[in-house]
Amino acid sequence: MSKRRPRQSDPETVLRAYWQKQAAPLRLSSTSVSEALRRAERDGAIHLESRPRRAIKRALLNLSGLAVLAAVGIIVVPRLAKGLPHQGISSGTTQAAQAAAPQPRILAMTVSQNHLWLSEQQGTSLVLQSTTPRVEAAPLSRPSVRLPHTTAITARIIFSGRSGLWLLHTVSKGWVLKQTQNGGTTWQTVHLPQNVDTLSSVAAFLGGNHRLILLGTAEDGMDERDVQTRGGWVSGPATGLRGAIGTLWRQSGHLEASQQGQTYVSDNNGQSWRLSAVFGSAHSRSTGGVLQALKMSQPNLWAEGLASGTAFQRGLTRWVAVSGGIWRQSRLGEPWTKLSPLPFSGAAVSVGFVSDQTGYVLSARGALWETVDGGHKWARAR
Amino acid sequence: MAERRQVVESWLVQYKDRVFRLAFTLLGNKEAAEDAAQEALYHIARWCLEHPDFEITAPWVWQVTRNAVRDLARRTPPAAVPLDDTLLGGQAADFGEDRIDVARALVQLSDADREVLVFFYFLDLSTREVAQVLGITATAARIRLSRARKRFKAAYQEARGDVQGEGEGEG
Repeated sequence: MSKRRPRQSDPETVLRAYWQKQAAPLRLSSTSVSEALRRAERDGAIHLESRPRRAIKRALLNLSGLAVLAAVGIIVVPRLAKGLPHQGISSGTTQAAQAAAPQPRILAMTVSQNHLWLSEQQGTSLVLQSTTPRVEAAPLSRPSVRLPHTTAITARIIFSGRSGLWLLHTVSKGWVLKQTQNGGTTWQTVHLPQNVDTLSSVAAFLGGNHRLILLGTAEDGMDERDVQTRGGWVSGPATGLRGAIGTLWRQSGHLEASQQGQTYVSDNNGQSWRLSAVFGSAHSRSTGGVLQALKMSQPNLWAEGLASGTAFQRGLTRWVAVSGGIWRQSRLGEPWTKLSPLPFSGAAVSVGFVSDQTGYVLSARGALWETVDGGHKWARAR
Repeated sequence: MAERRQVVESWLVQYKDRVFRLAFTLLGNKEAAEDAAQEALYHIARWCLEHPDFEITAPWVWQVTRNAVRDLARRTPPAAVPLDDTLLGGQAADFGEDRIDVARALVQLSDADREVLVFFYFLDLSTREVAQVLGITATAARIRLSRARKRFKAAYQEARGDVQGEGEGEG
């Protein structure tokens, strides 16, 4: 039987037509091609100049450099890259200056206990660096942590709140969980049960007694809740959550998870869930609920891709960074306030606030932006 | 080298919109799809420039795109599909009830089910090509596609039944 035989009520025909109609008008700008080529050439160290010309150019540069040194009579030591100033960046940095000094791409960002941590490539290693000057107050015993060599850029970093650090990331098939309790000097791989390895989406957070709780969904829709105990991992009951988990809020055992347009609430650390608010309700107080509340105030945000942002919780205050902008909710149940539009084009991958006024948002392209006025104005930080 | 660059550039121009559309269909969000498409084009360009004898094929391009989408999706939550007619500003009649039902049904599927349906119905790939993109055997691709079809059909019929029922209410 031909798979393409059209029938009026054939759901497969409707499906094909749906996608064709949605995607047909989409066009990628021509600059995307030139940018991709430029990056590929730069990263692949492929030059358009011939090798002899490069060698001559290098020699001339060396000679001129030596001449300068001889004239000055000192030896210049390259300055080490410094961390981010906590008070904010200078507004005098021009775009030209930024272009002349290419910044390393920030691969991941996390805010924990009012400290900002950035991970970026340094040589062949991935290093997690605290940017807070008062390192003695940092959650780890040292201001930088060398991450395992195989860490992917999609790693999720979870602080234990004491001296430990968890690292959860995906590999080609499955998930890897590592832990360090000595600032990254050594890493231990934490055993994951086979069923966790097959999860397509995992949300991780710390439960009571600094235990790590994983909440995940598998390809066939089955759900898991695994809590690390002394005896190993414990699989929880199926929760009915399907697909990837979007935003996960946590406060004292109370969880709210947004997932594919639905909001679920758990009052027992994920052991059981109930559907909190169905999209379309006008009277629900639930704010798991990030999507629900924002939808009530700005319906069109949903069409802009509301759920493709990221969220951060500090105390009772929540922030989300979505394509439509950056929003804040001061307390559960209160309306959301839009602080500003996203300061960059494209998606945000991480947002975090180290205080009520100072916060950071990381773009999918690895650019870090900072605010020092609570999220109304943003400036490029790294 | 310049010649190779021109060839690679022509490939990127040829595929850029389809890569974007595939990313959008998988992610459901235009901005995220742009980022994923940009990353896919970068990886394609870099590989082709570093391997002068390599000739790209469509399934290979879809594979690279899929990987870029998966990387991005793991960093950003997937965009949901609008479920409520009111979100469309009262344009349900123009939007078409069928499309709303399809959207509702797609939301119920897992990422893997949705993915295999996209490759088969949106890109019109054969099961052999779907297998190549997913990195599985042709038999596994057929089985996965069969299961995804059944689940979509069930979800679609359920969605159509919801429209004719009392509608969504407070949970």
